[in-house]
Amino acid sequence: MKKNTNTIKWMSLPVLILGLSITMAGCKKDYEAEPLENVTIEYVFDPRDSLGTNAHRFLNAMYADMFPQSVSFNRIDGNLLDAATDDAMPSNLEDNDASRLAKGQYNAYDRVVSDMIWGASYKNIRAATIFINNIDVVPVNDAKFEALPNGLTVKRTWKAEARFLRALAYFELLKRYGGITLLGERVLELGENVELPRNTYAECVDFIVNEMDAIQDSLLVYPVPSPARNSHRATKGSAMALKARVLLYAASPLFNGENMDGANALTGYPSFDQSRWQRAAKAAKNIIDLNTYALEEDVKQVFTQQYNREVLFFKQWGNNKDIEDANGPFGFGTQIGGQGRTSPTQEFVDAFPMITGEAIDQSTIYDPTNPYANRDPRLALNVLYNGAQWLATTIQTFEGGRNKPGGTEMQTRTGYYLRKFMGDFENAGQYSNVQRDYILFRYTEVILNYIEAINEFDGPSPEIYQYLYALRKRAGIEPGIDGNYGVGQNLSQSEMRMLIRNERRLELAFEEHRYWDIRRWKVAEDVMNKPLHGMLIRQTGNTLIYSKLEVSEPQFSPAMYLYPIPDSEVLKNTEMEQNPGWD
Amino acid sequence: MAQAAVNTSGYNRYRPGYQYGLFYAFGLGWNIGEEDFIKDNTDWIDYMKVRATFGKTGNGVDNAGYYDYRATYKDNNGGIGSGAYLAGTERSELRGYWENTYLPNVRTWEGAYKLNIGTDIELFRDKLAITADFYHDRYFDLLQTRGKSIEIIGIEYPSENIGRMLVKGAEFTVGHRHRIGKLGYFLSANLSIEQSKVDFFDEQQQRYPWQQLTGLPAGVRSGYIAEGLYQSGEEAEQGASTVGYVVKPGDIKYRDLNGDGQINQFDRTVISSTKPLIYYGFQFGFNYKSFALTALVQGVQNREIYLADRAIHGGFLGFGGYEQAYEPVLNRWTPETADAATYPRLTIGNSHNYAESSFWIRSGNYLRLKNVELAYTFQGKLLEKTRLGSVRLFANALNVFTWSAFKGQDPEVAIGAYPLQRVFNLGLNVNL
Repeated sequence: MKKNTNTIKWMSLPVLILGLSITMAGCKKDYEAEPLENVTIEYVFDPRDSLGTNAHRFLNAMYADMFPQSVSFNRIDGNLLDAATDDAMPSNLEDNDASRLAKGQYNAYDRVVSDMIWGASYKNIRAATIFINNIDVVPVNDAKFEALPNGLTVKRTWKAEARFLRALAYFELLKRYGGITLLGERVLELGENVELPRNTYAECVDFIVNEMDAIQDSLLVYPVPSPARNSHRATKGSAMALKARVLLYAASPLFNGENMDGANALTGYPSFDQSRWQRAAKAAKNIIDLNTYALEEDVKQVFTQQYNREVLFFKQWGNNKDIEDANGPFGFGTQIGGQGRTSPTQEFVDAFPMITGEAIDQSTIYDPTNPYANRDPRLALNVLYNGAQWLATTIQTFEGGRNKPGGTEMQTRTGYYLRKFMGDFENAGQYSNVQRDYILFRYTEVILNYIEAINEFDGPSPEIYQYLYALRKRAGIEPGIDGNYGVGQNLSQSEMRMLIRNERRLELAFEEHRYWDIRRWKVAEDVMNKPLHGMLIRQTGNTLIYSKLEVSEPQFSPAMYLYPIPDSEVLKNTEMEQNPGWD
Repeated sequence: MAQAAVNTSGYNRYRPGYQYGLFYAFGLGWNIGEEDFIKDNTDWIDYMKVRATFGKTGNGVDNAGYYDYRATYKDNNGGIGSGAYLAGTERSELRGYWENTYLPNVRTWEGAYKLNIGTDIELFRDKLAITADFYHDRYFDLLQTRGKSIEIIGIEYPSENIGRMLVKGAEFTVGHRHRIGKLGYFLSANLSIEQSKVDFFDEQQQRYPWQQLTGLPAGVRSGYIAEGLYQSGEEAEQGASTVGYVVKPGDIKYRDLNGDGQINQFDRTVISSTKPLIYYGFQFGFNYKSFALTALVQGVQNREIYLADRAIHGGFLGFGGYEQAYEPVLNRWTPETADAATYPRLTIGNSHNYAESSFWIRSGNYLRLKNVELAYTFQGKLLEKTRLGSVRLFANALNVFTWSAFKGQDPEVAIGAYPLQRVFNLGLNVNL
C-alpha cells in the first residue's frame, strides 16, 4: 500500500505540473477582468481599421440624434411649432405644449421641454467633438471607397460633416437662448470644472460662421455622388445655408439694434451695425451664385420628391402618411384617418393676396361673401378651406358640416385645416404613403433671406422685385398687364419690408420659420398679444354666411423673446447667467 | 455576553482600488434577571435583558453597475426604432455608435453605522411581556448624482458616494396573557415610530430658505401652499398666478412666498408632513368554555395621500376632457356652491390648478378593524356520539370597520388598485 502510493506520487509529478500550467494558461485566456463587450474608444476610433467602420457609425449616430430627434412636424406635443404662432393654433382644447408656448405658460422651472432643448443639444455637441478629436487616428483608406470629386478625402468630409452638425446644434441653442456656452474642442470629464459662463451672442455667431467658412470646401457638393446612398450628407450648400441663416438672424432687430436688454452682450449685439445686413445678404447671395440650386416649379414637390433642387439640407424621414394622419381633416372616418390637429387662423388666410397679387384689403375683386375665390393659389396649397377639393369630395367646415360636425372630438377650431406638406390627395379615395423628408434648409429661404437683407442694407432695389416676381410666378399669381405680379412699384424701404415679410410668411409657412421670425423682427409682442380668429360659417339653404370668430388669446411678454435657461443650470452653475425676465 | 464579527467584501465591478469594503459588528447583552440582586429581592421579574448592538454595514452588490467605471461605447443592432440613420434616397439603414449613457464613475460600497438598544422583559409569571427597541442608523456614502450635474457636459452624470442620512426609530410591544377560571384572554399592543433626516445630498444653494430640503426627512414633497379657492373676481384679479395664466374665481389660490406677484419655482416649499410615521395595532382575544373571540385592529398616523390622479380622486374628467366624470365632481367650485366646494372649477387642461400643491394633499390616517372572529368548539358527549375528531363553528369578518380621514380610496391600497373587500365568513370545521 505504502509503496504503491509512492510510485504514483513520483510518477505523476511531471504530469501534475504540466496539468497545472495548462489550467493556469487556460485561466488567463478565458478570464476577462473587464467584459469584452464593453468597448472602449480604441475600438470605435480604431487605429487599424482602414474602413473606419465604427467611426463611420459614430458619425451616423450624430445624424440620427440631430435636431429634431424624433422626426415629425407635429413634434410639439402633437402639434406644429407654428401652432404657437399667429399662423395656426392647436385643435385640441387641452393643455398642450403649443398653447403653452403661445400663451407664455412657462418659466425657467416649468419649461416646455418639447422645444426648450438644452441638454440634448450639448449631447450632440459632445458627440461631435469626440468625433472631431479622435477621427484622425483612424487610417481611412480612400481606395476602399467610391472616389470623391474635388480632391476630397473620405476622412476630411466626415470630419467636416461632424463640424457642421456641431455648429447646427449650437445654432439651435443660439436662436432659443441667445449666447450660450461654447466648448470649443473640449470634451468635459467628471473631475473638470463644468461651471462655465455663457459666451456672448457675437462670439457664438462668429464661431458658427468661422466653422462654416472653414469646412465648406471640405464637404461634398450638391448634387452628391450616388445620391441613393449619400443624399443625406451635409454639403457645401448646407454649410453656406446655415451661415446665411445665422447671419440673417444676427442682423435682425432683436439682436442688432433692439437688444431686449440694452447692452447685454448675451442677448444680442450691444449696438446696431448696418453692415450686419450686408454680411447676411452676401452669405445668401453666395449660395444663389453657386447656380446649383433652383426653385422647383411645382412647389408641392419640394415636400414630396426626395432630393429635389431646392433642398440644401434635411433630416431623413421616410415613406409614410404621418402628416396626413396627424393633420388631415377630421371627419372622413377612422378608415381614412386624419386627426385634424392643426387649425390655421384667419390671420394666416387673410395674409394671402388675390390671384392678381394684391392684398385683399386693396383688391376690388375680393368678395367677403365668397372669401376663397380668386385668391393666391398658394392659399389652397397651404390650407384646406370650406369648399376645397379633397379626397374626391369637398371640404365642409361650415357648422355641422362633415369636417366640422361639432361634438366632443378634436376638429378644426378655425374652419381651416392644414394642406401643406401633404401628397396630392385632391382626387384620391384615401391617403397613401408619401416620400417625405424633414427639410431644414431650402432654396426659397435663401432667396427670402437675401431680399430681406439687401432691402435692409440697400433699400428696395430692382433685384428684389425680380426675385419677388420669380416667387410669385411660381406661385401662379397672374403677371398682370404690367408684369408686376401685383407687387406695388416704387415701394419705400418699410413698405418693401412688410411685403418681404409677408411673402416669407406665405412661402415658408409651417416650416418652423414664423415662430422665430416674429421674434427676431421683434414683432411678437404685437402679433401675439391680440386675439386670433377663425371663420364661422353657417349654412342657410344654399347660402353660406361667413363671420369671423375669436378662437384664441395668445400672450407675449418681452421676456419671451428668448427662452429661459433651465433653472437647474443656473442654480448649479454660478457662472451661468439667466436671460432677462426669467429669474 | 459579547459577540463580535468582522467581514471584508470585494466586488470586481467596482474600479480597482475601490472594490473592497470592511464591515464589522459587535453586540453586548446583559441578562439582568439572572443577577442575584434581582433574583434575591423580587419574585415578579421572570426575565429581564438589555442588549445593544453596533455595526458598520455595507451595501454594494445591487448598485455597483456593470464595470461602468470605464468610458465605454454602445452600438445598435439596426432595426426600426433603434436610432439608426437612413442613408441616401434609398433610405438604407445605417448603424450607429454612441458614447454610453453615463460618465465613468468612481463608485464604491454604501455604508451605515447602525446602533440598536433594546430590552426584553417578562413579569408576573409571564403574564406581562414587554419588548422595546430603539435604533439610530447613520447611512453614509449613499449613491446619488452630484448636485452640480450641469447639463452642458453633454452626458449623464453617474451616481457617486455622496449622501448621508439618519434613520431613527423605536418599536414597542406589550403583551398580557391571563386565565381566570374558565375565562382565558390575551391582549397585545404594538407601536412603531420612525423618523428620517437627510443630512447631506449635495443640495445647491437655493435662493430662498424655504426651498431648502437638506435636514428634512427623506422623500418630502415640494409644491405650492394652497390657500383655498378664489371666490370672487376682485380677489382673483389681485391674486398671484402661475406664469401666463389668468386666475378666475374657482381656481386655487397659492401663497406667494416671495411676494413677487407670481407663482413660480421660488414659491415652492415643503408641503408634505415632516412628522414621523407611526404604525400601531392591538390584538386581543378571549375564550370562555367553548367560545373564543379574537380581533385585530391596526392603524397609521401621520400618513398623507397625494391626489395625483384627479380623474379618479376628484371625479374630474380625464385628461382628454371628454371622459366619464365621477361623483366627487359634484363638489367642484361653481358660483352657487362657492362655500361648499372642495375642488376647483371645472376646466379642460389647467396647468395652474393641477400644479403640485398642498391643495391635493389629504390625511392618510386610518384605523381599521382588520379581523374579528367568534368561534364555538363542540365538546362533550354529543361529539363523542358522532365519532368525529372535532367540530368547530365559526364566524369571522375581514375589514369590518374602517375609520379613515380621506374617504376617496381604501387607505391600505394604492389609488387605482382594487380596494380591499369587506368579507364575512361563516364556517364549520370538522375533523374526522
